Amino acid sequence: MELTISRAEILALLPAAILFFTGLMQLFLDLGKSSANTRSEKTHLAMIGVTGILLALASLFIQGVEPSSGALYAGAMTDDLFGRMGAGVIIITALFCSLMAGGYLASSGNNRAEFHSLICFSGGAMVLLCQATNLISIFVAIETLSLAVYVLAGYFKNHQASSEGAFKYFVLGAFSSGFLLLGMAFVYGASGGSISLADIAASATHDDTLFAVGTFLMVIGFGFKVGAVPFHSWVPDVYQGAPVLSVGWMAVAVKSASFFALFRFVLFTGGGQILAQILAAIAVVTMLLGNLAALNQLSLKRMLAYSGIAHTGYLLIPLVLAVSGSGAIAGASIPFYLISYAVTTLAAFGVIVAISVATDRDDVQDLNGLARTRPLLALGFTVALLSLAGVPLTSGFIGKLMIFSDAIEGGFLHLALIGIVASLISIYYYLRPVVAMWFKEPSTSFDLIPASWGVQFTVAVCAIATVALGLFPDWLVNLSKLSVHAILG
Amino acid sequence: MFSLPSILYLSALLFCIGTYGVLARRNILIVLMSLELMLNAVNIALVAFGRVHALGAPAGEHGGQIFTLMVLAVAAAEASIGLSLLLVIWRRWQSIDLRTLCRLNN
Repeated sequence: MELTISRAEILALLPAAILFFTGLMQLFLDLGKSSANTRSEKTHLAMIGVTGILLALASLFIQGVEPSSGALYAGAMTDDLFGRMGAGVIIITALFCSLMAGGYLASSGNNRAEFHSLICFSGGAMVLLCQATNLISIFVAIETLSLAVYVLAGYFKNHQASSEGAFKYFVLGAFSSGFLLLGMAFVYGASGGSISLADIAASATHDDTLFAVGTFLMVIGFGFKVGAVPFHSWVPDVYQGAPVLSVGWMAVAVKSASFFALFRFVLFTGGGQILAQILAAIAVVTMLLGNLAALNQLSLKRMLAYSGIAHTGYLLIPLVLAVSGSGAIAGASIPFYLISYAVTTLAAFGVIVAISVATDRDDVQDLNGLARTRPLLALGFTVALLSLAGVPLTSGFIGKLMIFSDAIEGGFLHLALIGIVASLISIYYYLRPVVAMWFKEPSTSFDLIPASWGVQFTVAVCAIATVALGLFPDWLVNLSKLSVHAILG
Repeated sequence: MFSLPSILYLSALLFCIGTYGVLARRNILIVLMSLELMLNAVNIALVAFGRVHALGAPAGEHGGQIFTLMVLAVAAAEASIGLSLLLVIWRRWQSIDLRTLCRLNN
């Protein structure tokens, strides 16, 4: 065996390596600093983070000259357009989270370097997860990102709800990792000792029980990470307890990375009709239960938790199509939908960060009259909510349109219909904050602390991106299609 | 030598014990131990599969064994995170009973 590393392999690893290195730098530079000045913004940490993340983003484009979709590191990872789009979503999310982190942590009085570096560590692991093409690299990447995110969820260790939520998340997450690993062992055994997805696809027989059970267990493991319905019970509790910024990071980045990896896995291995039926049932229950449970939530974080579950349901539809065999066309909606979901959700969480910094709460009634006191934040939040609901002229509408039209083309008319009904239900609870912001009197208790510039920047850029993607979606739709076609070479 | 099915049965048995421990026990330390047991049960299966498949495979094909080493490292990291969360909980409630945690929302 030769042990040489080619240029393509170094370039493929570069974004993740830069992120890991940035995280380490932040930890080292904060060594020995007293925690007495926790109230200060520690801008140098945020600046290092932003610089490192921008470098990682730039490194994605360096390799963009000629995408090498071949197997790198003996088949452990690849460097195709699909993986790079996933890496792009994650790095951009990390960028906005770092921008918001300085002001948010300073106001919470818990400003330490660990938050910044944990964002970078989990971001690096997510980038690897998007590029992983064998069982070992998928497992190691998903565990690395989970371990970092458990700590992020419990970051406010003096808050009761934060510690409780983090521990709940940890136990259930480790439990589901056990099932994921068992599934991988079965797939490994059933496919004659192949580790890489391409070999598994070549050697597996779909009528093999061991293989089917293994694939099913792996889907369960991923289903937990994305919050699909039988495995969603942790989502509302963790979202409510965890720091707002960690929740934003979890909602966008963990979900995106898991979906990119799960789609790649499913596209390679297939899975047969039984798995397609099970996934379709999970998708239906997830869409309906997520939207129905969100109806009577008065806490914004809990509402967005259930809304996130509902969006997981929509995203499962392309997976159903991929499992049942018409994957390459249907999956084109996944990169587009996740990018649109990322910018939309980041705009929404930016506003919630601003609200919770000012009031230390996140109730819908805290938004009363926001349009009069802070018109731009209110406008950004309105755009984000309309996009989440799937109103035309926003990117959320285009994403849903792609998913539902693919479902109809692929012969899953019932999934599309249930999805449309579920989106109609969702309009009710997305409009409640909008009504509160624009048509109610400002509450006198609302403290007018101006939002930090990072939050303002994030809300503005993400809201503009949401509308821009809704008006001019073509280039990104084409890029998504290209990336999905590139997976199988 | 044991046969492959008998090793897999052992692995399944240990995995079920671990699952039962996570679901049924109230002591957080025992829950953490059960989580480790689940991962290590799968390790046995991986090594067994790896041994069987490596017999016919070319040299250098030891995916199962390498996988097991990675899982060991991940399990160690997971245990450290779990124990540190346990420490946070102990400092706050002076208890490592899961029932004290169930006061959140339900």
